[in-house]
Amino acid sequence: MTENKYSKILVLGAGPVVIGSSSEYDYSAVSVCRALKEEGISVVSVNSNPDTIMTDKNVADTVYIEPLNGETVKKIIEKELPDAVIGTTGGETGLEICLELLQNGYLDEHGTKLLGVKPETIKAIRNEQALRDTLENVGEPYVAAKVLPTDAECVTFANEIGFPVLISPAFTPDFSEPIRCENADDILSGFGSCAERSLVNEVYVRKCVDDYKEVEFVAMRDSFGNCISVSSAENIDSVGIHSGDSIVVIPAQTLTDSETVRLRRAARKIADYLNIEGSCNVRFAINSDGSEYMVLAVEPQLNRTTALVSKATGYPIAQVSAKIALGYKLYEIKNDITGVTTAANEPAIDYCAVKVPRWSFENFDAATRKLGGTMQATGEALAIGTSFELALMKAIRSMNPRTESVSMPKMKQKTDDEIKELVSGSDDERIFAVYEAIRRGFDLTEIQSLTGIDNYYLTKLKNIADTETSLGNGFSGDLYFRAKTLGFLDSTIEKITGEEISAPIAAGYNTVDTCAAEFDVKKPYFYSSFDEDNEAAMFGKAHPTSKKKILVVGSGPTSIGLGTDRDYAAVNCINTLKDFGYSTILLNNNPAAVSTDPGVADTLYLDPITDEDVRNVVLTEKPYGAVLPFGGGNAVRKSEMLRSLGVKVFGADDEAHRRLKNKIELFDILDDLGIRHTNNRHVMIGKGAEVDVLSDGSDILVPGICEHIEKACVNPGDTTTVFPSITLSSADKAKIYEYTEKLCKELKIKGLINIQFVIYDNEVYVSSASVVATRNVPFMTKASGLPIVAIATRLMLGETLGDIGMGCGILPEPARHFVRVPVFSFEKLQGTDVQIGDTEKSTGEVMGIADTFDEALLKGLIASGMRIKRTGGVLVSVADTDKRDSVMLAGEFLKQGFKIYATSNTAKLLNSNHVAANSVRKIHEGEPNTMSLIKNNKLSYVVSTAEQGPKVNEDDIRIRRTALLRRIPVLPSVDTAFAFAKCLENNNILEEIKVCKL
Amino acid sequence: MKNKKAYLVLADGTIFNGISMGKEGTALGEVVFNTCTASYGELLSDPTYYGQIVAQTYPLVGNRGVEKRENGSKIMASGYVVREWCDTGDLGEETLDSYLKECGIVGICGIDTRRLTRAVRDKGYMKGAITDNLNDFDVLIKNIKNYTISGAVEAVTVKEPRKFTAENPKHNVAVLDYGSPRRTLDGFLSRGCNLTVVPADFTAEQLKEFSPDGIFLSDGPGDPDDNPKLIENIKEFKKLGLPIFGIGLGHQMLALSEDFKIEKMPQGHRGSNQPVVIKSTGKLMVTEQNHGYSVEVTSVGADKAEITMVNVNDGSCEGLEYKNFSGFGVQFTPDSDRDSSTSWIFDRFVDMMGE
Repeated sequence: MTENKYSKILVLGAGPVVIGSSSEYDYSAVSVCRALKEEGISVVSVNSNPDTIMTDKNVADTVYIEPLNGETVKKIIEKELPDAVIGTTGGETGLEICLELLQNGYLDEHGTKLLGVKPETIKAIRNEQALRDTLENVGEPYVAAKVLPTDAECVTFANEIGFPVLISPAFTPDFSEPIRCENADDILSGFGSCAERSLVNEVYVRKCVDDYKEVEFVAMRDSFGNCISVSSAENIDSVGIHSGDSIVVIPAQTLTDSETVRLRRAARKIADYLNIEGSCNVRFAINSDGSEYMVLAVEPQLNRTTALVSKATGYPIAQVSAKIALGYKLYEIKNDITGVTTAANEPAIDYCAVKVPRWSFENFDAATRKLGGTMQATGEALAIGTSFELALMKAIRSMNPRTESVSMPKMKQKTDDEIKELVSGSDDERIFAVYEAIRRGFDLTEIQSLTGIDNYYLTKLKNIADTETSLGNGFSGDLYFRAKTLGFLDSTIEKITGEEISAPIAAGYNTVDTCAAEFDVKKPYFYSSFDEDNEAAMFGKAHPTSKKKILVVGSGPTSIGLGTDRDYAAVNCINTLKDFGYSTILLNNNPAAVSTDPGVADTLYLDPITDEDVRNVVLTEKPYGAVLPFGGGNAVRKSEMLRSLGVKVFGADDEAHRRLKNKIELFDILDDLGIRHTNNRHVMIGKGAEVDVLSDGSDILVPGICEHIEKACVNPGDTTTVFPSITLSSADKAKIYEYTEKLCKELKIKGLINIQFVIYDNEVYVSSASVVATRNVPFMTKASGLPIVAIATRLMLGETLGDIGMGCGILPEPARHFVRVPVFSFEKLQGTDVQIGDTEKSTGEVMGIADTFDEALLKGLIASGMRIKRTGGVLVSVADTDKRDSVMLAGEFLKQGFKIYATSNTAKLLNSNHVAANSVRKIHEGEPNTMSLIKNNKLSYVVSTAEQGPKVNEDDIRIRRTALLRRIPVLPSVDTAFAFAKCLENNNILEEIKVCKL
Repeated sequence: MKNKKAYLVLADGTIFNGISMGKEGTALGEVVFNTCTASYGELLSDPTYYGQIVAQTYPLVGNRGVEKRENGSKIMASGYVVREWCDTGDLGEETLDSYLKECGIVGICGIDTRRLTRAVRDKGYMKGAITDNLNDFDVLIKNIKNYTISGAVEAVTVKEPRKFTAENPKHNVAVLDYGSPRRTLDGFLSRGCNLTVVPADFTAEQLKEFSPDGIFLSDGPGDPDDNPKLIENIKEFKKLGLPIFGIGLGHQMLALSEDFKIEKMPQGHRGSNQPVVIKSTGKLMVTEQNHGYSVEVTSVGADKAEITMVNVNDGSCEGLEYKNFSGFGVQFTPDSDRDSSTSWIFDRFVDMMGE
């Protein structure tokens, strides 16, 4: 039996949530931390992202919230002297940091081992060329590609590897969609434009496998070379659409036995060659007749796929990886779900799991919704069913509870031609158009050739469509049952048939048990089905509890506005409920979430969160109460239904939520209380502030008052938030507290409320309030040291602040400074403008902690990915309303030796105010212009704000996007820019930035 | 898809409603479940399923029809149970339904296979029938209860010796055919072994005629204790002084020939994910198995043999190395593919036969 020989391990996080990197990294890191702590190891965690459970003190023994780069991690290693570092929890950032730590023998020198992945492994796959060389050595096929200087050579190469090929500029900082070439003529006509955009005038040619199927295999290997295959996963969309934007099915459905054997063997061969110690997922492209396959990617880090496969199979990849990293053999690692098997058992699946991506395009006016090679989804939902149809229908309503079915009413309004166009395209609603096409009787073969979607899936969609059609022709008991097994909601069926369902069939539950019922298991989780037995009820009967059951409803997939902060809150809420003697039930469907780790709640339901789905859980579990606010608006809307089923609703309910959400109602309440508020019709451009308040209905406890750097017209989620505040007067703070207390008392809030303020002309106004907003909660939890969600949960269940022994009032402000910096994903979303406003656009956040405000801000900005430069040019291009402030801003940059550029009017204004500025032409005025500055690397920063209103200058959008893609920081607010300039001035030497424990 | 009703009836009277697939009519058998996600073609033609009604725990079956290469072999199971038969029929290859029909196998789809698995798991062992007729229910139950798999080996073994030639032959192996799937033979052929596959009841004297370099005792269906005569033969084989290698049923009968005991397992091993560990090296093998009997660990005399491999889940005996003759046996089906974790077992046997 292997024994653990480590006593302290540093676990790296992955940083802020951006598109392509969501809470799955936190889920993995938390599993790893738990697995290490189980071994008695002291865990040090580092992440810049405060919305993470891995940075909670009960998960890691020592926590650092610091920018994630080699330099800071080295400082932490020197302070903490860990025996080992685990970097596979940090995604690509983590692997990059590992490589940096390995340079010049740094780790050896400090007696620290790198666990989880070998240095050679990272090097062998770190870029496309390295991966191709590796695959060449393994003898596995890869996607042929080359950088070539002439069109003739491109044609020769294309002939060699076979058409079609994709060409794109080689070595360009700009994003460009590759050009698909079917023949030599296509290359000849496309070559010029590509070469022109390349820094070296060369073109990157690669074999186009966009029409191939995309399949993934996850292998698990220990340091003794023992290896198992966890599962396969198949994308419904072909290779051309990023797998993060594709519907994914687990296990793969359309491979033949021999194809499965071949790919599984290839994945294993690669894992062996790379000496993997942990998980390794290998992505393949395979053509439809199976005659040819290629390896697209090899990933030894824990990521979205490993999280998805873990939740879909019950096999905890991250936890097992951690144990393997410590030296355990696969068969020495216990399977917690079965209690009788080990990690050496390949999971046996007796269901079908479907992941559907969730996009947030609605937050961006101009975003194109076309999907392609760059991931654009912000989150995902997972559903499991005994059939593909059931799983798909559930996944679709999990993705968005307002989308009841794959049959979308909007599609029914479209003409055949419009449907055909949507089917041929590749936007986020294609699956609905494909379904509609099938429902209208379009030829499946034609749809298959237009979409590349396998006939198998189209046939399944046809089963759903045929049932919808039959329902339209009349209702019968058999038909109703069939519709239920295919995933129709009662409400959808009623809409189709126009009849009320007199005897609704409630779903039962099957279990995810990793063994297809081969064993009677210890801790399974559940998904709804229409099988003959209800295994959740049977399990409940066999494992009775005397504890009161509380249902916590989760928030589903991550989207902008429904961020990972909610998952953070849900997990903390569940832990608190467990601590206080309740048996917890979680309903959620986000496979990347920490809350859907089966170890978190006592009972986990992986299912959609519509009324019917929630009702079914209640009918089976009969919980005593429910906590809804951490699931957001959708969850609190279930309160009335829950009460009607005899479930007590703790904390905010629909009524409280609605009253605050409706501004007219809120302002009426405020008027009655004599609280000043921002009138809806009048835009107050003042200073923003916010509080998260704990309230027991009569007393309140305020962890602290935060101040926003940007003006109050910016969505609070997108502001740079500072705690303690730096410019609020004590009178402002007193007023904020007074208003907060009055409002909480009036509303009799039990739990948590967030209130937003505007300070305008020395007067405090309330602008909004919410009982479901948690965006700032993780930040404030970490900054104030107060377990906000834990206390809120206890208050919701009826304790008072006095009972808890917390006292009331406002906590004294801490000595250190904390800054929350929002992080955006503009570069991933084509056609979006790099601007902030009243609609939330940020996907995540980072936190800077330091003894001074300036250092904290600088750390936050570095952590957010900003490249800090002390010389170069600053382009100042601001809206008229910002012109006045831009003088001071430009003056500050100038003082520090930056060169100021501005377009004619602004330049004139600056110069007349004694700020030396270089006048530069606008794009339409001809070259050289603002664009030339960017292309010639003259700029270190771009400060660019747009005029309010719907009409945004196209040239300005182009400037901002180009700068962004070239990684020049774009500051979309004069306030942020000024605060940044000041902190740059006050932090002379970046290297002297200190790391500090939370 | 047709919609004719069919039923799966268990010996305890439990009825599962489903839809007929493949041949219509009634089939009796021992109901077992298999946890593989794919390979239904190979599974159905595996002789170790003789006399069994096989239920696939993976619910979506038939997605890609039946691959042509699998068509050559005969279906050995008596019945086939799936939750959903997914007929997309776009491959130009045979559908599962027509394949079953062609082979005369009664099938059923549309049943709650998870409930079935639990029932079989909890009882450990269950006999049953697939039928489209419940009219004489009492008779049916009586038939189910009276059903025994008898003469299983006799039914599946070859009737005449058959020869297979390897490309660069180095050895001659005599294969005692107790009902081994064809792919096991590939493991020897690809390693330079000419094979003579002989009927199960061949004696040592008869084997001598082929002057083999080694003897392979194949896997097969049923209870090993049902074959006393074959076990007597094995005792004689050992006197020939040739290396002997047994898998599955062959391994069990080899153990019986040393007077070790066989037990009926509370829960059989059926699927492609059975973890087996080699005791001396700690190496893990993910193995394919289909058996309900195993060699009783405590019956293995330390002077006669060593247990070299065990099942990770239940500690049952998976491999024996004999001390008083040159021979070994494994409980699972080694994979002939050189990249697999079990292929070394073929190599070891070839090594034992020498140059």
